[in-house]
Amino acid sequence: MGWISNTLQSLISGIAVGSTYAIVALGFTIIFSSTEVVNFAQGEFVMIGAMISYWLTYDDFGLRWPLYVVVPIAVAVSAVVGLLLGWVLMRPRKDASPISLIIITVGASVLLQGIAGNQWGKDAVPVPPFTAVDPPPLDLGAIFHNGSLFPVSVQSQQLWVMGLMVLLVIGLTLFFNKTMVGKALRAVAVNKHGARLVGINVSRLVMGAFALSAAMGALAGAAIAPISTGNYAMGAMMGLKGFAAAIVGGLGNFTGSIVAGVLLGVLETCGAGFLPPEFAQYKDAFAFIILLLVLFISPNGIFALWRRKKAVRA
Amino acid sequence: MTPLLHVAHLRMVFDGLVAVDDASFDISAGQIKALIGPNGAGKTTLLNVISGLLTPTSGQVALADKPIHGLPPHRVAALGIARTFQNVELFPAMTVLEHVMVGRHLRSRSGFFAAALRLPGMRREERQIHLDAERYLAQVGLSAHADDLARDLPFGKQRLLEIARALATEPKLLLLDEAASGLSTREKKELVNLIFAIRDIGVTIFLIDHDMDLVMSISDEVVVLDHGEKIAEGTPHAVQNDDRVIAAYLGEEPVHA
Ligand SMILES: Nc1ncnc2c1ncn2[C@@H]1O[C@H](COP(=O)(O)OP(=O)(O)O)[C@@H](O)[C@H]1O
Ligand SMILES: [Mg+2]
Repeated sequence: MGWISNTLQSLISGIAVGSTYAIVALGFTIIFSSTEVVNFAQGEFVMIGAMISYWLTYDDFGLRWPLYVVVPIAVAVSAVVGLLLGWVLMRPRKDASPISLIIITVGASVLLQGIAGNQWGKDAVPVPPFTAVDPPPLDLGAIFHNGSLFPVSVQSQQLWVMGLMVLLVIGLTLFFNKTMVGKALRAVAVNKHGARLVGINVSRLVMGAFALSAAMGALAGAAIAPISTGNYAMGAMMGLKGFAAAIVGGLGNFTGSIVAGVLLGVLETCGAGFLPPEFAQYKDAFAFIILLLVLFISPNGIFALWRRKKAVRA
Repeated sequence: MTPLLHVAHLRMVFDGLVAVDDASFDISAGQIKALIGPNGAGKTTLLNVISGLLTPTSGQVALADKPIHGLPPHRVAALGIARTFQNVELFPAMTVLEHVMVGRHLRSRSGFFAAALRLPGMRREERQIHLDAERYLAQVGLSAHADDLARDLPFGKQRLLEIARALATEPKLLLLDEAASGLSTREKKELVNLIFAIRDIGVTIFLIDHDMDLVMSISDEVVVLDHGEKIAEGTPHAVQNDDRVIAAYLGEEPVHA
């Protein structure tokens, strides 16, 4: 019954990694819906969160600050970088095309990666887990049976990542539905004209949206790096996977981004488990194969397909 | 007395097309003033300039002596000009109450980070905003629809919602772009009552409409635009008997509907 254990194990790692994809995808979604800009620097916020967590916790620099100080600092630094990027993007004339703004985000991504490579070197770096002790191995079989059928061990950091994703989703839902600023952002997303005319300062709100998505990305980075290790270039892959999830979920679709992000993590991890070892390096291609398939079948994301079916039935 | 709104030598040119040509007029506080003219005369463009959506090619707009031309729309709104659109501009997937709450955004203090962190003072303010929003909905008679989505409202009620959202910004001057078009006779009557009620709480009104009966019966003064140019201004009676106005409307629609 080893394969059941293995599958469950992959499923858990997949959900954990997928949770970070989901958070990055949500970052894309928030920015895209308020600006029509795809922010290709989104993954760099994950890198900033991971690398600053490493930088301030490891001894090389004489710092050994506890994580409950370090992670908020990493998140705050990333939020400021996001704010600056938002500010830069809001500078050009109102009629600047989204394409030229997207190119600016690509530039920002290259720049941030360059700075990180210079500062922290090219090697993978360790980031400590939020809590040192892992829970005892979980045995799902024991619930139904008196034996040790399907032992699965869960790292505490995996629980942290999943928990953070759930909290973030709850927090964002409250933010967008219960607060004035959240409502204003939704208004900007659907009708900038109408929003401006009721006195909403669209550029300021968009800068805030950038700060928010940057903070979320950094949190995801600080949380996943203890599992995946940190690297100056990790943002590129994170950004691409989060982008794939955002597209698969239907760009601009909140729930779609979350589901697609988690699904992508699971498919990728489980897929890698079934591949023969010599193909293991193709694991990262998985996200893009899925992305291509979805774009062929339903260019507006998997949920558009589902909605179309429902509409036909109705 | 200085007028509430002063428009002087306003010109708006789009790639060679002169949409508004040297228009000048004043709106006094407390007035209901109308802007009429054939289709394409430049009426909406004029409203777009006043509300900050367009920067005029030349000329001035001043609100209570303060120049406002060229200011971004949110600043103009903050200074006290609200408007509705010829084609309603709502937030389709938001509720009726949320629309009016968004209108209150301008008059609320809480910033982005206070909201993101859910600071306690904010919750109190949000409750207040909620109450205010309900008051504005009651004013236009939409209380029963507070929780409906805007896109599910019948057209006439969408227009009322736009007015409620505009009122929530506490304007000194309310610009209504064809607020009566597409309304039934009964809805028009209700709209006229609402316009008078809004005037009576101290809001000055500048409205565009094609329904001459409606315009002539509620306005204190009328400005007539043709091909971007002001061709007449005065009381409804004077304007209706103006030769240039009659000529401009020949072949369009009769001034006396
Ligand atoms: N943003 C714009 N760009 C180019 N031309 C415009 C624009 N807005 C309006 N126009 C033109 O300006 C003229 C006046 O339009 P408009 O102000 O909408 O007239 P009205 O509201 O009186 O019917 C029309 O010829 C219209 O095509
Ligand atoms: Mg018009």
